[in-house]
Amino acid sequence: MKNDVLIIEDLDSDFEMVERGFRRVEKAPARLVRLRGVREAWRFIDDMDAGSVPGLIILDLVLEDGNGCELLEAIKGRPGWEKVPVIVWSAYTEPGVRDECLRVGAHDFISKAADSRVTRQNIADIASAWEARLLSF
Amino acid sequence: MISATEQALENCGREPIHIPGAIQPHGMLLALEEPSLRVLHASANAGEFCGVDFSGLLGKPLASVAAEAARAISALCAQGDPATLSPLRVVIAGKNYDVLLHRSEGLLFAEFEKASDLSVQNFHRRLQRVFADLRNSESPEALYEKMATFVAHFTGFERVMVYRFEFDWHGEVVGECLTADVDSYQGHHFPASDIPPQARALYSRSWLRIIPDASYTPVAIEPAANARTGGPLDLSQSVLRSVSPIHLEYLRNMDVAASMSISLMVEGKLWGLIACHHRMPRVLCYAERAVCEIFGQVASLEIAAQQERRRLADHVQATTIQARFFDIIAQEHNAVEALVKYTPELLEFMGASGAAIHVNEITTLLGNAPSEKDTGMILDWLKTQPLQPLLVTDSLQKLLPTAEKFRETASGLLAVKLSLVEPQYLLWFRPEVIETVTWAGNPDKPVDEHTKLHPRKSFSAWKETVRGKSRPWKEAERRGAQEVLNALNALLLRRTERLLSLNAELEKKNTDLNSFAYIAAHDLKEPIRGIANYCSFLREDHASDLSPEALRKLDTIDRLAIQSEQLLIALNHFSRIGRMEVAPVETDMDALLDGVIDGLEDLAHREKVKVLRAGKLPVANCDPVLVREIFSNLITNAVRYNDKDEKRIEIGCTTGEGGTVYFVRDNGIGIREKHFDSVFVIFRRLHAQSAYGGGSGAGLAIVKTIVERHGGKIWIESVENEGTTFNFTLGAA
Repeated sequence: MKNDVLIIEDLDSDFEMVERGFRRVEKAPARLVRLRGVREAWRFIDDMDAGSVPGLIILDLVLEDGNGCELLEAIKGRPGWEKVPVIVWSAYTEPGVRDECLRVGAHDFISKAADSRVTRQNIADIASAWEARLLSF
Repeated sequence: MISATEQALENCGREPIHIPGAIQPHGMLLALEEPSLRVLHASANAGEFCGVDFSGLLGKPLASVAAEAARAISALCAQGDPATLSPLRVVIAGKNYDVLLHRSEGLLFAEFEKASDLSVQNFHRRLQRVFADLRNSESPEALYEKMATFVAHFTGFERVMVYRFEFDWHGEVVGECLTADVDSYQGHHFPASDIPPQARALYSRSWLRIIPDASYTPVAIEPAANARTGGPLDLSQSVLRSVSPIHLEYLRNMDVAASMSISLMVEGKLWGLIACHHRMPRVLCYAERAVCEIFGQVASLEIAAQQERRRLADHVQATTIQARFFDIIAQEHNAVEALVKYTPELLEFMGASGAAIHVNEITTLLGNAPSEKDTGMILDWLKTQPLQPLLVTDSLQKLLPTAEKFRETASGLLAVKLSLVEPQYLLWFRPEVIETVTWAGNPDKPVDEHTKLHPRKSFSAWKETVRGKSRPWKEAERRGAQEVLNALNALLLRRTERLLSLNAELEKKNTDLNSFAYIAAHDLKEPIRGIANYCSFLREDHASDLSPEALRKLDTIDRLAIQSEQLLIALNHFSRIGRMEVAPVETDMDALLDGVIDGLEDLAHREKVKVLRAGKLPVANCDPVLVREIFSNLITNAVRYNDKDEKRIEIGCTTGEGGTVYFVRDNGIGIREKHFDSVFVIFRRLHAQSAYGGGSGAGLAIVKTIVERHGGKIWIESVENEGTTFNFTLGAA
């Protein structure tokens, strides 16, 4: 469903941070689907109809059962999913990773930070962008 | 200017002593035509010996004056080489003669001397005993003494000396026996010119020469020109040959009437002489001379045996010392210390009196060496010499004239270059020979100034020839030096290998550390972020339930979490720099610095910093990404650690011999000298984190890593409260 937001994130507090961020926006997504890892993500994606792709995916890179960047590339290669915006949200700071994510189709790359003010601002940006339908899809 | 003595000696060297055209008067010489035995040449005293008129002898067959002698000579010559078959006992004019025969230039030479009843057989047992005795000599010196003693007692000569030729053909009296009150020449040195080359050549061919009476009048041989060749008669093999008038004068000046010399041949080379002197005329019969010849031959073999024994002993000793020496230096950490510790051995096995070690610009003097200043002068000179890898000289002043002033300690030099690239040397010194020579003769005994040829004059003459010279370095010693070099190199190689393996280990540890730092940095971020997140949730959900005190503590937890994260990010970055490949390219440093300053414009504006550029920076070969980080960190620090109202930063470079030195200078708080090293250690802060804008504490560690990865150096100049200058180079690249 275009009204859904998928969040692929294994750390509970990070997920909660996103959840709280979306709570603050007026036009909240129909569903905020939390997926904890690569396998869970695939199960969910495979079950979805081709016509009911989500409106946004928030993706962590270091997942317990796999690499978020590879998952990103696979999603982007899936028919019908090419245009689903994916925002990578990661604590990964190695240079090159950001470029690689953007190269394989990430809409944006946002660094996670311990500073909750920064995090809140980042998520508020994502959420308000969603809200304003500024994300093109 | 040439002195009279030198002139005489010079003449002596040119004198054609094998063709004197005369003999000594105690015998008669005939040169005969074979097989007719016609007399082609005769000494002027031949008529007298044969009891006929001299004019009736030349051109006539010997048979016409001495039929029996002629028959005996013909018979002997028919048997084989007359030189090995003679002497022959003949009777002429009713008198017995011993005839010695030899062939030369197509002539048969017959030399007649008064016969004696003695034959070599008479001395058989005595010789056996003395030969056994010679063999039992415990040292070469003992052997020489026994040789002199036997010859003195056997021949009755008053002074018998064993005279040894040294490396340069100068001679030394190494053994002596005096049977009367005559001058001793033990230890006396004679210049090579005293026994000139042609004399030495003659001595190598015949085993014995005798002059029964130095005041003799030579007897001419007639006709003078060789009947066969037209040239002068070659008397090399003649026992009666008349000797050089210079030699006779020399003998007379020494108060010597009779003289004899026996050749000593070792390994096919003239080793020396047994020289015999007597103040009265003295004739030795053929048999006695034959015994002396045999004695000379056996003694020669014994000398060779002794030499071989000594060589072996020396070799064993040298090898033992060397082996011990090498063991020691192999165990030592510091090769120089090992050499110093083993100085006596280092000098002993090289037969040197002093040594110097020059390593890492430090010279260590051992034993009897020239002064530090003089050694420094030698080293400066050596640095200009092509050593491959040895420099060996027994007269340093010939190569380096200024070395004349310390010839007493260092006439001889054996220098080894220890390193192909570094000026590191090991030097061995030998004193001037003259310093080591003493003469047992009475030096106060007056010598007539007009007496030009005399051993005392010889001694002075010899002294002149060895001025500034040391004993030469033997092949074995050069090899020894080479072995020391090899041992030191092996040691160095072992150490280098150990260093390499340590380095490899260290590198692995560093890599491990880096990976650890990286993993830790990433994995630790997650829980720290978790802590921060929950603080934030707690504040959001329970702010009203919490006291202001609890909320403040929550803030502190939050702040510490953020700080932890910053440290992790810095550590991560630092470890990444350590692992990064340096990719040097031609870089316009000036443009690079422009970029850095532009990037820091906000900071500069905020802090009201004036950035000055001291001239243009050159193009350099470096990794621009990394070098940008150097400048960025240094400039950030310069701004951060600055409490002046007007903050100034000056950036530029100086170019000197060591290449380009970049500097970043500020007017900030300065760094105390004792902290010059610690500021480069990661997370080592000199101030509370909250003070001075709270850097991560990794900046200078990163800068240092980048500089060193470029092969460069970084150093600090600073005055507290006035400012700091960071200087760095980017290596030879």
